[in-house]
Amino acid sequence: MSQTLKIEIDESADPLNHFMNKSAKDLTDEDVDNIIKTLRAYRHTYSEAPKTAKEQKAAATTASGEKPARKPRGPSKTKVDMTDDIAKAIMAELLGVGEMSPEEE
Amino acid sequence: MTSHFSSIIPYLQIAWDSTTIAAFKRCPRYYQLSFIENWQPKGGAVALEFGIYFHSLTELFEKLIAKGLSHDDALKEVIKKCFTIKSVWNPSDPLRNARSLLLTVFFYIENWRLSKIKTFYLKNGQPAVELSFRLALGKPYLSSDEEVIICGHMDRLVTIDDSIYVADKKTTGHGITRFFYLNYLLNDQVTLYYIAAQVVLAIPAKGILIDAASIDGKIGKFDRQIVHRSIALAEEWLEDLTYWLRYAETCAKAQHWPKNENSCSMYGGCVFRSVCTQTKKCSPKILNRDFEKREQWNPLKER
Repeated sequence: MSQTLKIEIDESADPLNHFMNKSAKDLTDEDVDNIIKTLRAYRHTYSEAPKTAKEQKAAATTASGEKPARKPRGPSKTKVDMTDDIAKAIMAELLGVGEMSPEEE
Repeated sequence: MTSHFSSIIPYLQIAWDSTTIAAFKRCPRYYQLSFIENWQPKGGAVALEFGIYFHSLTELFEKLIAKGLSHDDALKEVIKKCFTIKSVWNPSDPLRNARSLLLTVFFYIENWRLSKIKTFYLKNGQPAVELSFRLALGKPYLSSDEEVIICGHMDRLVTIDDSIYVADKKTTGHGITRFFYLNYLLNDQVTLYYIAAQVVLAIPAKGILIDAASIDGKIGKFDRQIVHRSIALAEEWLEDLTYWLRYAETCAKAQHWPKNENSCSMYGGCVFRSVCTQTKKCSPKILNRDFEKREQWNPLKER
């Protein structure tokens, strides 16, 4: 049994729209505080939403309480993407994959 | 110098920024239509305007933080400014509009809240934010004996583990992949900013920090990566540039900017393909129908 978890975001119910309809002149300091609160909550809402098919599948599994049967593993059919490998090599050579900004390390 | 064109040879540009250098290298005909005749697709300025507003709002935040405001107080000022922008700019574009501008700016600031990357301070105590530069190349490049300068505006200088980098914000409607960063390994703007930091500001910047924001109409995605340059590579770029400048002079003297058909399908497809498939006699019809004139791009314009 499979179950698909579908998440829809109703844009019209988005509390940010209440503020977006205001002009700069009508915007109060309280509105600005509430925009910050709303957006911080908004990010949380989005960060909880499954983004990838894998994440959606994992969420569906949790919702149904069943673990889907695992497909038997066969020989890898993954093709070697030479373009991707070359790109990686160039990045490593010239850009340095390790040269990420400190917060990414 | 206020005009970026020669006073002797019409349409010969003598003040170049990375935008016009890249446009000329890409295709002289594209350069002519975009930066001499000032054509752009109708409604085609939305991406550019979004980028300009994104830059100005995030720079406002950086300046307020440098002045000593708290994160939230600076953020509040940015939100207020965003609503002021909304009163004059709110296109119907699904990806780039006032709402997505607010979301992208807000989550960009929130995303890098705990960043170890700090704004560099100049010797005069001012934060190194939005730095305009002009670099004179000297006179031997053009037959008109006019001085040529290269110029631009750097977003910010930052410090990472005691090293200095030029940070440049990039907004994209696509994802931030390794291919996105590959574009900057060989890139006029990155090299020009590297040179400007070394020569104009006399700061030994190690490279450029590409500060990327992917716009998706929601909270966006943000990433940063360093692109290195060396003095030797920069010198080669400058030498190459002199040949391009002489080519630009040849085009201006002849009043003819040839097409480079090998660029037509690059960069997601040139916006002027419909024009260039017609003869130059017929192309004005297409231009008047599908394009509009914008303000003259002036690399010397103060920000």
